[in-house]
Amino acid sequence: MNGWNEALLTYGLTIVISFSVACMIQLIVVLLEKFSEKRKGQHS
Amino acid sequence: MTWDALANIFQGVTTLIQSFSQDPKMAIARIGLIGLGLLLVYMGKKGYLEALLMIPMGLGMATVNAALMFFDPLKLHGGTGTLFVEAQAGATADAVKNAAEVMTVLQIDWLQPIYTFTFSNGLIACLVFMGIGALLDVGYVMARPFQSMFIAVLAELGTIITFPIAQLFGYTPQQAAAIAIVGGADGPMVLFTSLRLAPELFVPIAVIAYLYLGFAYGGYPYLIRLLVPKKLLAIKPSPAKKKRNITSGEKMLFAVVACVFLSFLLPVAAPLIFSLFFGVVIRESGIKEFIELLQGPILYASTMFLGLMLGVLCDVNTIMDPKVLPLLLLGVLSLLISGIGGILAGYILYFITRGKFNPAIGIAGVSCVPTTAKVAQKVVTKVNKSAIILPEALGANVSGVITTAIIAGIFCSLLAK
Repeated sequence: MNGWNEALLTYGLTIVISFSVACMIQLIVVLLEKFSEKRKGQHS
Repeated sequence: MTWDALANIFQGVTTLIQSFSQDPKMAIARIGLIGLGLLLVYMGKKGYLEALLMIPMGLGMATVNAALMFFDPLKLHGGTGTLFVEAQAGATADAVKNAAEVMTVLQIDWLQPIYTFTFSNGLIACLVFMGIGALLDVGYVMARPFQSMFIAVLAELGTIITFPIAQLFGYTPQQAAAIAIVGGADGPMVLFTSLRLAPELFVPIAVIAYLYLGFAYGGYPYLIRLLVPKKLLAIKPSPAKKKRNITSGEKMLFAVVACVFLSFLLPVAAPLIFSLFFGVVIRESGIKEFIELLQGPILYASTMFLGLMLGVLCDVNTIMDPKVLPLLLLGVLSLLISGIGGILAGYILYFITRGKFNPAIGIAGVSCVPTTAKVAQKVVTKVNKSAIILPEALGANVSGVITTAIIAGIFCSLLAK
């Protein structure tokens, strides 16, 4: 079973890091949306 | 005029005749490579394969195998060589023993400076990545981050599965990782990983990777049609909920944060990560001169020299190495599994959304930007002209670049010698 352990470790880490990036993107989008709504509210 | 003088003038012919008498296999392979080079030029011109890479690569491959002569200053190839490039110089430490030998090849071979100063150190991969970054609209990922990442992660299955399989063929873990990363279908990443982990196999891996990327352009449409029935290919993506537009400032913020975050996690892949996001940041910064520089001269000059160098590196001595043949099989296996993985992700999303997701989008998770996204759209358009899947496909495509960079970084850190 040469290499399967490293392969699974790599895949596991890839999944974790990729979805961390996705979470980060979602967070940026949500925060910026709230921020822009707030600014719109202040202007009107 | 004696026969010797004639043989000396027409060394290309003489080396071929000599090769037929001494090692017919090499002679046949040489003719085959000339034919393959010409075929690549033809297929690039006709649009069956990516013209940007295949035309310079094909011409380089055909010419370098025609121009073989009695010339081997470093005594690496049994007495024959060309005046184009010495692939071993700089790629492996034991092939060139001292600086004087490097200087010799630099002064003899006309393409050697480009190879030594941009190719064998990974610079050209970074330059291509800057250009690609300047073309990428990260807004497609920001609009649907989880969906895009999900597809991209499953489209990496080829890389993950090929890694242990390559070890069964007798490759070391480092070589296996460099071969497996072909499944990410990201040329610069393959160059970078093979240079880091398996410099002795750098040339054949890079050549095979780029050849197969060309074939992915021609072969993936068949894979999509084989795995996705026409009824599903015709699915129109459901109209997105009314969302505000993502501004260039927000895209820039994402690029900066992602660049620093990923470089922090995977410093080994930082040059590539930086190059990609540098391109994105320049694109979103609106600095017109820099954008034009990256999208035009830098991207096209690097792609042209990349294709040319890869073609020139396809000389018969390199390609006929016994270690190269299994690479042909492993490369195609890796890309095939990745493609199937991407379409599997498409099917999972199709079931989760109760039939509103077009499974063909999955192929775009294979990160050959923007080829696979365009391939998916082309296949879908043939069935339903009003189905526009390109935005979702590009989201998966950009995510694919990110996941391949992550895997490359992990492999390089985990398996560094």
